[in-house]
Amino acid sequence: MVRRRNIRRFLFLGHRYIGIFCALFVVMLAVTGFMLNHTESLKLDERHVQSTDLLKWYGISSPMLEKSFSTGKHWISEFSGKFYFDNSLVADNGEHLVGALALEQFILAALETELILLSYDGELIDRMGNAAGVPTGILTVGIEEQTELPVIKTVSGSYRSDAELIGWQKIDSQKIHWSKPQVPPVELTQQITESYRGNGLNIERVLLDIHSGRIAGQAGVLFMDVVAIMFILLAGMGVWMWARR
Amino acid sequence: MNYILILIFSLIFSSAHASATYQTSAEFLDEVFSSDVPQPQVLWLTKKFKPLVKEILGHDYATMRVRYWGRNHRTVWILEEIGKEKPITTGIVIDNGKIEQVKVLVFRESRGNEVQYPFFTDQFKGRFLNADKVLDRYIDGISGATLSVRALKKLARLALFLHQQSKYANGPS
Repeated sequence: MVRRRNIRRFLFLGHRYIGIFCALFVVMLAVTGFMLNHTESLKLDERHVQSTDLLKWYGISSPMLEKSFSTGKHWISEFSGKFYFDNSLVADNGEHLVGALALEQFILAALETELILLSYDGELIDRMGNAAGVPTGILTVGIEEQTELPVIKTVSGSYRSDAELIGWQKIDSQKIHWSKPQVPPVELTQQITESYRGNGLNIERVLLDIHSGRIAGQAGVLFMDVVAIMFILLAGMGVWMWARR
Repeated sequence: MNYILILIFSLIFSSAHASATYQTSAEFLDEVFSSDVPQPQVLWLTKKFKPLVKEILGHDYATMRVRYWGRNHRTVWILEEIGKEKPITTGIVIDNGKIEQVKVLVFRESRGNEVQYPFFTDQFKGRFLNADKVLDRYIDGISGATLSVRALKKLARLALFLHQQSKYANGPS
């Protein structure tokens, strides 16, 4: 009789403490499950995480500023191999930006093997590589003082173009103002950082990982397995006690 | 046995990495103009042309201006269009409003490189644009290369259309 009472007391206390421990996880699983059931209507797959700490936790690092050039009101920059007009992505082919300058009608950006011509609204006008007669091995770009025409410095010498940037002619001119990298405004760096990292992690992914425990890696998954076992115990104990009452 | 394994491996490997440059743009131009390549010209895709280009390609052309080379009634266009995932660079020669030559210069896709062969590209010879801006005659496809064939047909129509807008459309200027 005493033994049976002890078992009942043990189950009662166990049910209570396991219940308190699991309460938090029940709420967490219910909330995340509810949200995941409505992914489309809540647009969880389209909304992106902006929290620096959470992105760091997922190993999504900040983009590295390689070079940036001021072209009047606009900035041409390279962050981690991606090429930006202000904060808009223009190209992502891994080539390095070597120079940029403002011309009368266009912005001319020089990558290692091609020149990119942009309008002042950021529209892509032309991409000119070797096929368009642009010499290879571009080192930088500048403006010839006398003619005010664009010049590129390459491994095989300097070449001047016309105002429309159609043909290239080798020159020996020394009076050229080469474009020089500058430090972009902090706001621009922040905008590009947000744009670069913002698309890497959506809220649905985070909720799925919280729901399964994967947000804490393999240990988190094992922990959620333990919690699931506790849920089963809780249900079993509850039913047993109710039946014995 | 080893030879068979090597053959199988190289066949698999070659089909998965089929990206190839068959001819550089400079070589193609040298060939077309017999080493007397004229100065390049540019054609701006203005607001007037953009919807028509979009009608042909199904999307806007990547840039706002297109470079070409011309002499007398002939123009040469080096254009790019994505087959499935990557752009196919194609050289197209137009003479008097008709296609003289289509040549795949760079093929970057992993499948469908059969479009480079003359049995396919020769079908474009003599084709011109009708009033609906489509080719005057049907071009036979290649099974397994549907998207590449489609890309080349689009480029052929685009080159013919751009030729009509160029200053070489009506003979020497």
